[in-house]
Amino acid sequence: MEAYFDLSVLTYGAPIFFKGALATITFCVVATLFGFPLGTLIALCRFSKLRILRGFALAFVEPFRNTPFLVQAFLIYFGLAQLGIRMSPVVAGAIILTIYSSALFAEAIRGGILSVPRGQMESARAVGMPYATAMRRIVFPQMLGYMAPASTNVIITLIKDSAALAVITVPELAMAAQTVMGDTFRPVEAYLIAAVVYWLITTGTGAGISYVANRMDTLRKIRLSQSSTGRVGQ
Amino acid sequence: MSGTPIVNLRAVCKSFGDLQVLKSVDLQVKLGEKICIVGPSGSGKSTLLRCINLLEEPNSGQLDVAGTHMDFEPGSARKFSEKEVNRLRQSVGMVFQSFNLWNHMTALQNVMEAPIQIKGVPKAQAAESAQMLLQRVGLGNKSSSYPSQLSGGQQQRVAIARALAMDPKIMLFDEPTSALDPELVGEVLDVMEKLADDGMTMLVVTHEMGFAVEVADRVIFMDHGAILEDCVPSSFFHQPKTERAKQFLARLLGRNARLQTPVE
Ligand SMILES: Nc1ncnc2c1ncn2[C@@H]1O[C@H](COP(=O)(O)OP(=O)(O)OP(=O)(O)O)[C@@H](O)[C@H]1O
Ligand SMILES: [Mg+2]
Repeated sequence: MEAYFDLSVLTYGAPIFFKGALATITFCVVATLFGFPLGTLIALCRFSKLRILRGFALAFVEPFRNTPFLVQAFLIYFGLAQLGIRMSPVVAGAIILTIYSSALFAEAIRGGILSVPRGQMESARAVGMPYATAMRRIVFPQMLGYMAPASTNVIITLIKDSAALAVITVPELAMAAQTVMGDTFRPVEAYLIAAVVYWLITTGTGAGISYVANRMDTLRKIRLSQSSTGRVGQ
Repeated sequence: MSGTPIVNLRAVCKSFGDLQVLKSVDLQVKLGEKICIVGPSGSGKSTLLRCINLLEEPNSGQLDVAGTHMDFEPGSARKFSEKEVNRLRQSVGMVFQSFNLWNHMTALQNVMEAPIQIKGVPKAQAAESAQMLLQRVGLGNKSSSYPSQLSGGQQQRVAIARALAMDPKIMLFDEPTSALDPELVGEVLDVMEKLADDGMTMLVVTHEMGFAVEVADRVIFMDHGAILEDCVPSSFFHQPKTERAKQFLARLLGRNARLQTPVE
């Protein structure tokens, strides 16, 4: 039995972990940048007058929210391969994580829209603003203030769940741990280091978002405000 | 100009599910007229106002508002576009009981927003007109305050300025003072009175009887989704024709009297 931490794993694995961490961060940034606007569209569909759009949005969001990302990644990657659509693991990983991200953001954004008092939209429509203008100018800026905590949750979920991309051999942080373990035969050290790096990334991200959110003017103004009768949407 | 009808409702009906809230309402408002609408809670006053700017869509009837004509037939698809609705709303200002100022914007931005976004007015020009409107409602020095930094009375005055910024032909007020602390009611009524003096056409749901007597050309009494009385304020308050109006007034005046003479 060995109860010590073999430091040589750290010195050997440092460059591998560094590359893996960079890849994980890049994947999550990409998934956030594309997933947020996609999620916004899906969330808007949930409020559509058209039943088909509402149904589509719900049918899209629910499976992704209610099944493990690991299973989704497997199914999409190998399912597409079976249909003859072959992509490199990196491209496939980015696409799969983006789809997942858009489903998670859709729910967070829906919650954000619902938390904007209903009268905000109503007074915008009453002066003659088209729906889209009212959404863009009145509801969205306030929604962003309300949804900072929910967005943080989504992004942290993305960072953690992206580890599952290792199953389709995407070279990210969990994959790096696997590689280092294989090279050194030290699984505990390898995964302990990975855990610490994940933890640094998630807490760093959380702290970063709340720093930005606290400095965001809109948020401060909404916090100050007291009116909250009724909500936009149904 | 006065004498031209700016609003004309004929046989307007509105239901929410099984509940019939407006039962064939006819109403004509001439340019420059000031009308107060009173009636018990749930009688359909808000719904009537909201049908005029199409925040609620009537189930049947005909509507003429500021030159736009619309027919509503039960069961048939609407025959007008979203664009027409938005155009109609631009000539109809609305003031809500709960103000509904946009929380993330200053008073000035609240007033500038619609002209910039909807009419494409250049920013500098919109700001200048907005500042003038804020001065008109007595808030020239509050232009950079956010709604949360204003009292209820100030917020409602900004809301009036915001509605005026679109240069409406008629203003709808839905109980504009009933969310306010009593000491703030006066400042809002003063602004509304000034607006009336300037010749604005106004449709006001209110239980401020003093305002109705001072300002209104007509008082409309609604009950259970119908207009039961439509006459000059003095005859409504002194000789209500219907039993329901008498009961309503007795309750209202009784409450006011009780407020004035402390109970032993
Ligand atoms: N969107 C809606 N959905 C369902 N029912 C509604 C809706 N809006 C109003 N109602 C109902 O219609 C009836 C009339 O409402 P309305 O708000 O027009 O009355 P009101 O005369 O303005 O009353 P109050 O003095 O309380 O404001 C009420 O019974 C109300 O519950
Ligand atoms: Mg009402």
